[in-house]
Amino acid sequence: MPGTPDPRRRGLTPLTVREAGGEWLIDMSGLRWCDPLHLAGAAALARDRGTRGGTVRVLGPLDPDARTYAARMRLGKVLDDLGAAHDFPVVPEHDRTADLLEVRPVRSEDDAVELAELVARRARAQSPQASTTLFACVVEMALNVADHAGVVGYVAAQTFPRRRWIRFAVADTGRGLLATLADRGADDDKDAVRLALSGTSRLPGRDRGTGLPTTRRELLRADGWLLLASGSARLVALTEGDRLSLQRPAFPGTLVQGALRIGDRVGGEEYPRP
Amino acid sequence: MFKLTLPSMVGGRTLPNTLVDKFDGDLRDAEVLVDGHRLVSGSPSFAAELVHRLLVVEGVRTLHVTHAPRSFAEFMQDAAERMGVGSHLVVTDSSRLEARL
Repeated sequence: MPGTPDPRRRGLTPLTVREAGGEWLIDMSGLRWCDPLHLAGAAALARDRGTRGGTVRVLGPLDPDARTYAARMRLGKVLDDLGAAHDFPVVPEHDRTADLLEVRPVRSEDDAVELAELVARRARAQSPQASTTLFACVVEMALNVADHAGVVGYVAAQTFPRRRWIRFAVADTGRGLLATLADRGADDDKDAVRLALSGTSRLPGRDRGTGLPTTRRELLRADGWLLLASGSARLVALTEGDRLSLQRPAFPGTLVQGALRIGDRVGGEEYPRP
Repeated sequence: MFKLTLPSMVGGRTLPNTLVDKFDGDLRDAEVLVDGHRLVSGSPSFAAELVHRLLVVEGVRTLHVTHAPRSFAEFMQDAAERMGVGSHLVVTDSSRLEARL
């Protein structure tokens, strides 16, 4: 099993990008635990920096459990495909305890639906109800990449059967919410995040803009939460209300992580919220 | 009445149009039955596009949704209300799946 989730390591703080010696360094070394947002976020950042030219190197977590876990979630394989250097080991894939959906690219609506089906089928044995919710949420978040981002995004999901939680994340380094919603009244990243969660879409029509609000509603009904980060803004939607704050480091695109409970906890510690 | 049986998982905005394109005949003022007895999971985007295509674009008089999971039925109702066509949507027996779970 990967290391113990560390509430001090929530968010993107331990995932940074810097330029050093003519190459882009994506630094995950401080992570003691890899959330789906770290895995999908690192893949999206590696792709983004790779397309800007120059070499990309990803420094994996120093924590051996976290590094092995990220490798088992195929982050190393994704980085290989992107031509990025990394230090993730090649690991056998026999222990899939916390894996639900390894890091996968999403390019199109077909990808979005296919990945959502895959993750929902895998989650079904744990909780049919959670599987149904997960399908709807992953489709909507991955569709946003296909509809708005203009780049390849990444999806990952993990499960904690004993703690009875499922988490998923979708990350892209596309135009981001501010650029997407500037014509709809967004003046800064915080505005854009708020507008996106209220159902504002760059596309016209009353059948648009429902993905994020519906995902939030479904996750909160499942006693879960939603984290949305774009640029320098970050919003965490919890049952007790939304928390809007600065995202540091800023994320150059859009990052969503959702969590839903799949029943009562069976021993172990409570999974920390962001 | 036109009938559409949904598969077990439906998502996205392309599939609703693909399914509706298979109808042979004019849908204006028609009755359409969407049978969700096989449906396990559906996405809000699919529900919204299906409502938009049938009730807004095609001008279906009444869209009946039956045997669908409660969450999907709710997505359909939300979409229909948002588009101002809620009175043309009739949902029945949406609790079957939840009861089975």
